[in-house]
Amino acid sequence: MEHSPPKSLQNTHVKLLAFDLLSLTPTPDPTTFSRFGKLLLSRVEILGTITSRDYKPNKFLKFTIDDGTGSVPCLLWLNHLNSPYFSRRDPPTVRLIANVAAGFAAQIKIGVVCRLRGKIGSYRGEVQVTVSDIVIEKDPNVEVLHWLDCVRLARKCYDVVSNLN
Amino acid sequence: MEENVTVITIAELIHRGCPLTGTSSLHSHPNRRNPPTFSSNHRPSLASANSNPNPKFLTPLKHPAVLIIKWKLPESSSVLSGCSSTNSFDSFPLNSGSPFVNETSTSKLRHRIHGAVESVSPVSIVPCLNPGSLTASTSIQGFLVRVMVCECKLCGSKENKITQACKVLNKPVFVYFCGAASRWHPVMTKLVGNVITATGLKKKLVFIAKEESQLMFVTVENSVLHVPWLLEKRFPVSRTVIKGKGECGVYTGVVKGVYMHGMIVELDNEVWLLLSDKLLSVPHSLRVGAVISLRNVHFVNPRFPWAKLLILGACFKTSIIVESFSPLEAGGGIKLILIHWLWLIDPRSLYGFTLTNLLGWCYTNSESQSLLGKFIETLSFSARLWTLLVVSCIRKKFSGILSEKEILGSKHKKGVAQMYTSSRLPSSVIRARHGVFTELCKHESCGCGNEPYCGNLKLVLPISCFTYHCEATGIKMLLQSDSDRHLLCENNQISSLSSSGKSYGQSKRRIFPSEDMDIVLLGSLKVSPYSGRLQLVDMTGSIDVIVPDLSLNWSANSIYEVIDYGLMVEGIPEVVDRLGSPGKELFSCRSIFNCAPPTRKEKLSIILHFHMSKATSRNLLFYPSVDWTNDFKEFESGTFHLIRCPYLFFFCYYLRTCNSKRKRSLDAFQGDPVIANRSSMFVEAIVLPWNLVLDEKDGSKQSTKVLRDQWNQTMDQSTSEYYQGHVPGKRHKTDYASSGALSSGSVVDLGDVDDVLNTHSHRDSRKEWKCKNLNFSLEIPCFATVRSVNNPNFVSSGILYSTKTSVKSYVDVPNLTAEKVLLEFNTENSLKYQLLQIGGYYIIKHHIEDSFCSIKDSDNVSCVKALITSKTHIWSLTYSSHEVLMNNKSLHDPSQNDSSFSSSKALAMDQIELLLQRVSACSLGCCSDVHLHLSANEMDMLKLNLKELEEDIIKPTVRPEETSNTSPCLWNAMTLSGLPSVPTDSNCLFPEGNLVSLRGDVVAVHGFDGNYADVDVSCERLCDAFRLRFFQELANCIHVLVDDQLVRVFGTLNEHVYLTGFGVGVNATFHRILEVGGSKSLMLTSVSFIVINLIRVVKEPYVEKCSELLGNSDTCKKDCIDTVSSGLISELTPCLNCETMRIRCRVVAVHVLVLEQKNRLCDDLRLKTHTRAHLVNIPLAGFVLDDGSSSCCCWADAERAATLLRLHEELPQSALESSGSTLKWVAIDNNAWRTTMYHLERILKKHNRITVKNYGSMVDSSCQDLSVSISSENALSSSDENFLKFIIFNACFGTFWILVASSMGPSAIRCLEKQHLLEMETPMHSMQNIWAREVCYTNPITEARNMFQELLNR
Repeated sequence: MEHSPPKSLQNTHVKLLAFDLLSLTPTPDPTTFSRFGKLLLSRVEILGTITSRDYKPNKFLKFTIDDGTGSVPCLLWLNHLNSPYFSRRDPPTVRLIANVAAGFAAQIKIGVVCRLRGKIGSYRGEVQVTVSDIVIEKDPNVEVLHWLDCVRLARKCYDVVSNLN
Repeated sequence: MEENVTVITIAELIHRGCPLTGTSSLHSHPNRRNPPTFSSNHRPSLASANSNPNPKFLTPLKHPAVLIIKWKLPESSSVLSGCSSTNSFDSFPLNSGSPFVNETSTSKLRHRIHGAVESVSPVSIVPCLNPGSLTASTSIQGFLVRVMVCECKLCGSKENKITQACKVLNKPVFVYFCGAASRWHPVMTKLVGNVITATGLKKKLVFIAKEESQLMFVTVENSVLHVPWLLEKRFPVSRTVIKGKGECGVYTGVVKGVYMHGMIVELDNEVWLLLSDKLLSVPHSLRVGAVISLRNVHFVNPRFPWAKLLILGACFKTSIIVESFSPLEAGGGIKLILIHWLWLIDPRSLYGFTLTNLLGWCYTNSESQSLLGKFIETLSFSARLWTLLVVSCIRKKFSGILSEKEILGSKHKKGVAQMYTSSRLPSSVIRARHGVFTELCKHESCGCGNEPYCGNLKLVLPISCFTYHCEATGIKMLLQSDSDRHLLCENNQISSLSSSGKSYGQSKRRIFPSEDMDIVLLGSLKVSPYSGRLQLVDMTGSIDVIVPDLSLNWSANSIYEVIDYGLMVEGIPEVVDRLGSPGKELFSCRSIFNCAPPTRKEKLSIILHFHMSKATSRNLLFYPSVDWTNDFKEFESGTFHLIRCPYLFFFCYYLRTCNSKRKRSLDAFQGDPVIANRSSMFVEAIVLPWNLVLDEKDGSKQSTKVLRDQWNQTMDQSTSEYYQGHVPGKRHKTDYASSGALSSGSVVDLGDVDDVLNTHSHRDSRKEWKCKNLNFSLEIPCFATVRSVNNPNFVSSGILYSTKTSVKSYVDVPNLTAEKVLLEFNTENSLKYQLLQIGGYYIIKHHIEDSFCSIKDSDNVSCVKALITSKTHIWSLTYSSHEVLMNNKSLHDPSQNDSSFSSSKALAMDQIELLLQRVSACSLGCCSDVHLHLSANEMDMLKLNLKELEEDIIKPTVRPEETSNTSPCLWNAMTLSGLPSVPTDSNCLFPEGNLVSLRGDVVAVHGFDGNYADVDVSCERLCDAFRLRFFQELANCIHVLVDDQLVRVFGTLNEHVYLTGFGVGVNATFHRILEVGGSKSLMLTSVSFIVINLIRVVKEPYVEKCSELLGNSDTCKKDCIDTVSSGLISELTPCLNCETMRIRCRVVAVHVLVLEQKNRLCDDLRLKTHTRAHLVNIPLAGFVLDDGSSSCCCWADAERAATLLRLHEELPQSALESSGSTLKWVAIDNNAWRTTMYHLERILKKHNRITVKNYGSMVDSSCQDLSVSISSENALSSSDENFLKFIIFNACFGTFWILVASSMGPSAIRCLEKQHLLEMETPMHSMQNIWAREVCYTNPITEARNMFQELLNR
């Protein structure tokens, strides 16, 4: 059986359920993860309830998000103002981003339903999402919609690798 | 704490120059080195402690203070108690400063009274005829007290003990507290209703009027007032039911406001206390927050239709007592209480203070000294309040236009306010004033207890209040009608609103006749510099107006009074609903007296419609300016050219460079205010070979009625002569003979008319006319009636004479030739352009230096341009035969003429129509500036001649070579041929097709840049095709019903900025519109012109009929957002053009964003009919969208881009913190500031065009590297820059959008690059490009259901 090369969806925020996300395997490229060896992913969008929260002011906020199929550890950086990573960018923009991140951190409370996008990474061998942005969802129907979205996308897009080629 | 309290005497306190309170200065200041210590028996040197070296002026307190001084009468009883035989009362000497009273020596000699104080008059000064008898001064100061005493003999005896309590106190007696006793006025006011005893009084007969005297008690040297310790309330309880017709009563309330120098006090809720009498002494502590009690005040319900309120009218009987001091302001109040108290107890303590100093803190009725003040005092209470309201309004309205003296008048001259109010008030409201004595003694006969009806007084409102009131009324009406409609919808299980609430409904219109408003408007007519529309303005605001019969030479500085009008309110109920009802429909008087007018939400379009000179109209010039008179003089004599504006009527912009890439795109320069400001408007006019000469003789001014009689007699004679065979001769002399017949008849019978038709006079006039061709061939005598707004119509005789060809007889008249001229109106004279009517006749006064006349004098006037300046006078002209004049007797008889709008009285609210066309709206002649009366046969001849002239000139089409000297764009657009199908790939720069005119009812107007639920996709597709084809922004589609056929007119209403009132329900004529897609699809071009013929309220059955038509139309099939198939971004085919798909996605990043400030001039019209227009235009925005399957670049503009940017959403709290912005939070009561759009508008006002580009990540929202650039030279502040960046970030942090988008094929991408991106040096990304057609919010439950179904079906 001929194996087709894995297709990249690295620039897309794929919608995966937690169990699916947590089963991704790392690749030699630390920013890329593989889904069953067929699909290369870098970014993800997940939705669930915040179940834990570990806040280090001006450093990071670690929290877990549970969508019913698993709990995904997430990390929101809050060190923009003292990180060398941002030192090259103009200070007002960095301050703006830092404020935005601080705003996100304030919204992340245990029990809220949160939709987040971020980069897939790993920490101590476990998948972890580095958060880009979050939206606190107030309508409980969005959870159902997200599950259905994940199912539909898996069926129509992520599982159909040959079509992607 | 208590040990720190310092006790000082009041005299010491006042001498310190700064009133002290318990909270501050009474405590010793710890930092003061040498704190003064006071005690009651130790009087230290005040000089050292005196903080104010100049004791003449008391420094006001700089902080709120608490009053600790509580004064009560019994304190002095310790001194006086011994004087009384019992200890149950206090005795006070009235006239002497000495506290000791030798009662025994006086009581037997003088009279005493014992009774209840019923009323106390104000203090007045009476000139004394015999100074020696009472006091050394030449005048007596004093006040009257009406005391109800017992009639019994025992009480009347001098021997009666003062302790006796009488049961029946029903006999009124008057006590005159004069001289030094007048200081007791505040005390007596306090004692109203209490039983007192006064002894040592003298009985005197006092003249209260010239021949009327009253027996009363007068205080003398030894008079003593006895006040029981236990105050016995004997206030006569009024048994009469208060109906609000002027009954006297008691009222206690909280002061809410004090206005107009204390003449008006607002109590509680809409209770208005009138204190406009000069003599009325207002308590010093009558301040906001104080509780006051009014005794003997008149209750008046004015029954004004425009406000529900209660008037408390204070007369000379009224006493005002402050029951509780205001907790709000204490500084000055305390000072005054102190001073008053000191004045009462020890006048010597006030030594060193002038009376002016003391009264400086009091309210002063400065107006009452003027004629206006005196006038107000003579009015009944309702009329008084109305007058004060009107005076206040007029002051606000014209504060910058007229001087204060002009408005309020002076002691010797009436001001505008008094002139206006006195002209409007009926004589019944004016009552004679008799002075304090008579009015107190004969109160019942003075009339202040009998209020005449004033319910028909209309209120003059500041325009800002009026528009606010209209908005409130309009919102209520619109919401009411909308709730009815919703009920209907719910019953039919149809919801016109999507769950997202982003869809807009149909705009609704309501018209209110002035009869329902009871409000009069005063203002000047001005052209708005922003919108170019005619507005009625005052200093407070403006309102768009439609005045169909406005004279072309209207005076901008004159003030007009508009009484008869129609008010059109238009808005979208859904938009209005979001604002919520403003609460009060009736306006409050507070808003008038207050300086700050309430803020309008400006979600409704409000237009005022009135006729200036209808015969029945009461809309008059109220305050003429000087230039109006001069302008009128301009008309009195001279020669006038006759022109006509035929069907060719157009509107054009001048373009700066014809080869510019942008010139083809109207879109480009709509946003450029610089070019728009340079726009000129053109009218193609036919210069008719007829001139009008008016007689300059002064005696020619006559009333039209006299004229009609004269004309009747004269014409009878001339006509009979004519028909008897007096055929006019071959040359003009024959006509002369005709005129001669007129004049000969006049000589005998008519006096002035022979002067009117004196041939010499018009010959003289002709000498002035330096036209080359002096060979007059035809002359038609006529009378000219010149309309005047404020004067009786001005009548002059005149002659119409032909200017060009000599003719032999009437038969040859058509040999005359007319010529065309292009009249150019610049922006300053845009209103003249607006007022011109297609097909109308006009006369232009001949001035040699005028550009028009110099052209006219040249040989070839064909197709040349004449600039109409502000000095060029144009008058509209109509003509009729004398038979019409005779038959139309109502023409100049106001009582007989009907009118277009007043007929609305008989119509139901929903049937009201506003006729806008001058000719149809008004009866013959009364709307034109000049009306000529001709004899029947001469008029027929003139008519025939004019008709043929016009036919000759209109027929030939304009050839390009003829017009090469004018703007090429303009004329190219006019030489249109062929009828290509749309769209094609033709390289022609301009749309091609036939220009047609059509008239019909507008049944729907919608834009393509808004989220309109009912925009049919076929319209949009066609519009898109037009856009691509012609590079033109076609923002609107107008559905017009013409003979039961629905026609669509595409275009941008922006260009037609003068379309005040345009919208659904109007009957309009579209001139020169281009047939582009067959007869049912037309396009507005720059040469198109829209005339609104009438505006009507759209009735529901009509709407249904139109909806049916719209629905049945096969080309307009409804294709809403739900019918587009949904899919994933990954399913879009890159190379397929115009594949429409519905996708649910989120914004990841913003690629590029261009923001522009909308041209306010253009924008004002279009969106006002739908919603409040925001001033942000987004020509292009590129978003990176992601739905989980793939990402794509979505291009959007206008509203779609604004929605994706979340500009209409509430600004997150963190936004301003993030941007470091320090904004002034103005207009707190308006919700607009909460939206991101509001703040963006603010930034765009400074920088016309802003571009934001993302040089960073396109797939990670937080890694965008944004760069902001601006077009203006102003520096972009860092806070604004951060705010703009925040907007981009905020757009990426939103939730799902439902997007209907078309994939962009290679050609579309190339077009986009060429149009925008190359110029901005922004590269395209290698992702799928789509064009957003529709953006709206998602409903998760519906989406989930649909998806679940989809997954199940698979």
